[in-house]
Amino acid sequence: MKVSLGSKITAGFAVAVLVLACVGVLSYLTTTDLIQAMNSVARTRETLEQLESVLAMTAETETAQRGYLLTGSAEFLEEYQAISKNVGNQMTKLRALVAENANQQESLNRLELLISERFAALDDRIETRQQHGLQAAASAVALLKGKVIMDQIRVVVSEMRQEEERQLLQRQETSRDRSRHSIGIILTSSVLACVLGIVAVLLVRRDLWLREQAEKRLQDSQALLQSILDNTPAVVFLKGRDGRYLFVNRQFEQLAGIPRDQIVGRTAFDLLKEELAQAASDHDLKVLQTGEAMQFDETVMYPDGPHTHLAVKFPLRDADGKIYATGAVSTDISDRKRAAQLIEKLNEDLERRAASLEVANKELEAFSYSVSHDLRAPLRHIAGFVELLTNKAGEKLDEASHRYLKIISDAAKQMGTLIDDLLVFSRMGRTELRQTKVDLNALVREAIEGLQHDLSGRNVNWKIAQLPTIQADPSLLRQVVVNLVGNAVKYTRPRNPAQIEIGCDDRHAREFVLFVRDNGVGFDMQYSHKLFGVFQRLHRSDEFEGTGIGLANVRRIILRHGGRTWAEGKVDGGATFYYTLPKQDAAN
Amino acid sequence: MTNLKRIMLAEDNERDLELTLAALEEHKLANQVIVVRDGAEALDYLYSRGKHAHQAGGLPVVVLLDLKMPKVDGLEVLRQMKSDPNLKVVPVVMITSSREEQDLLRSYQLGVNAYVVKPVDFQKFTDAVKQIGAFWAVINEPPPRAAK
Repeated sequence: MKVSLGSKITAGFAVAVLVLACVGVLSYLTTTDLIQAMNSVARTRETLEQLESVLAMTAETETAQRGYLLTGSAEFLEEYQAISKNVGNQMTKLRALVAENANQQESLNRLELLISERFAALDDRIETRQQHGLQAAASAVALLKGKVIMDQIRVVVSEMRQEEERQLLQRQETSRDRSRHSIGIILTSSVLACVLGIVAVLLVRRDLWLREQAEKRLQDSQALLQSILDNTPAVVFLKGRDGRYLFVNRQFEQLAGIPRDQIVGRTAFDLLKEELAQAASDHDLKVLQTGEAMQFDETVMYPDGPHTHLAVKFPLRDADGKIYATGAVSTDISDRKRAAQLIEKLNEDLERRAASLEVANKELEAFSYSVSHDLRAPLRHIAGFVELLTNKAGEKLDEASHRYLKIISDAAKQMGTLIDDLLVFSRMGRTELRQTKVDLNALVREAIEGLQHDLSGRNVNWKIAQLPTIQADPSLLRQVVVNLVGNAVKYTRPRNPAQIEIGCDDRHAREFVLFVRDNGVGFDMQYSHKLFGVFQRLHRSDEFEGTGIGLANVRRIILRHGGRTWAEGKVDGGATFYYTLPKQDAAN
Repeated sequence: MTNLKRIMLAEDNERDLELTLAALEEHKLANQVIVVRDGAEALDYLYSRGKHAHQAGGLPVVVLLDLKMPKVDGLEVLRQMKSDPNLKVVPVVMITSSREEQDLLRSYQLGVNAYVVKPVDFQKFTDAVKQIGAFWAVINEPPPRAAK
């Protein structure tokens, strides 16, 4: 459990105060005790004095009585009577002083009895003197009865004195003990209270220090916040519920053109055009009503004209969750808006272009459809009827006529092949790619197997490297491999032995570079740009057969797979045909 | 004549018709051929209506259809035949100059029994016609109701 510093300090002070209170009570009790002890010492002293005085007066009465007995003078008698009266008073005082002590009271009773006995004897002798004269009185004195009583009185007084002194001693002892004890407690408690007080003071000082640190940190973080807000390109401000600005950042200042201390406390209506201020205040109201952050497009006047801002407005809540202000972060999105408009326009253009492309594509399809139907039919008819003519009139025709008919027939067949190739080529551009994993090694093997007819009687040194597995349309890629390997076989026909190398350069990050190299008849590099064109041939067809569509197909297929094609060669120095295919992760 | 295995040939192009018949002639199949010149006529014959209302030849053992014909094209004839319970047992072979994927696909979707692209080379053409004729009209056993 964590106890707050405040309660620790409170507890410390409370304990200190409690200890001090105890010290106070203890001091009071001790002091009271001391005063009581002092009082009783005083009383003892008084008692002792009183006892002495009683004893002395008793003796004086005897002296006065003796004077009267001897002289018979009334003066002595008066003195005697005054003193004996005084003794009575003194005895009353004494009784009050020893009222608390039963022993002393008893002794006092005895003393009183003895004194009255004594006074009775003295009175008796005075009476004897008055009635019977000096002689009779003198003989009564001689009986020594008075002296005995007097001695007894002295004994009692002495006992009482001793008792008082003993009590005094005892009381002083107790008082001393208690004082010593109390002083100990008071000292300890005072030390404890001091320590607690010091601890409490230290705690308070520490708390104050922590508070100072926290305040410093708060100031630092406020400065940080301020500098972030001042250096952001957005306009940032806070408004109270009444629409008055509580805070604005530097961008706001710059836009408003006045320092922030002239902005704070004013409303949007003081700074903006009425309609803009109204829009802004409507937005603030919405945020206040819904209690949620919202986005608004707001128009802001700049020196160069109105700009569009995207304002994110949000409620600020106090600790009780009550909204006391709205905050806003407002960014200039004019450029974005313009860019969006531009993109929209470009998109429209693109759509228009795509639509016209689609129309063109449709036309192309219709064209190739009609080519396949309408152009092939007359060719078929030429070939068919030439054949029928040959069958029917063959015997009547001379050799030259037969040759002409054959030329007509061959030409028709060749045109049929060209049209078929052209249709295949056009279809290649339109059919969808069906990509899967393709093992190029297998494709090369199959291609070479398919060329067995052309390879019969040939001496070819194959050098085939390990090829990668790639992502491609297998049937299209097969055409590429068959074409390139087929070409290599075809154009090395005059070589014995022919050298054909099939390999792959795997050093590139994004693509495989594959190649087919041969030592065949090669080509002149100045015509290399024609190699991949449709129906472009660098050799006469009576040298090397072909329609000139194969490499055009290769280029088209590789382009559709995201690759490139090129070739290097030299007349009679062989040729190398390259094609690239994107690597798997690059293709994704 | 009703027991004869007859071939129906639907062809609008006169030259193609002549060549096809010549090819069939070469293989002694020409006299069994019912020639119709468009899709509508082909359907008329198959349903014994219009000018073929009184045809006595019965259903052919095979129908050779050109794809592109006036009025009703080959695909439509094929569609109607394959959706008719009586006619759908009759084999249909498309003989056309189109190798277009969409034509092939459409034909097979409609249930064509074979699809042959007419070769330019006449020798290959006659071979193809001969094989079709020989297979469907001679070798293949027609469905029970086909030659009623």
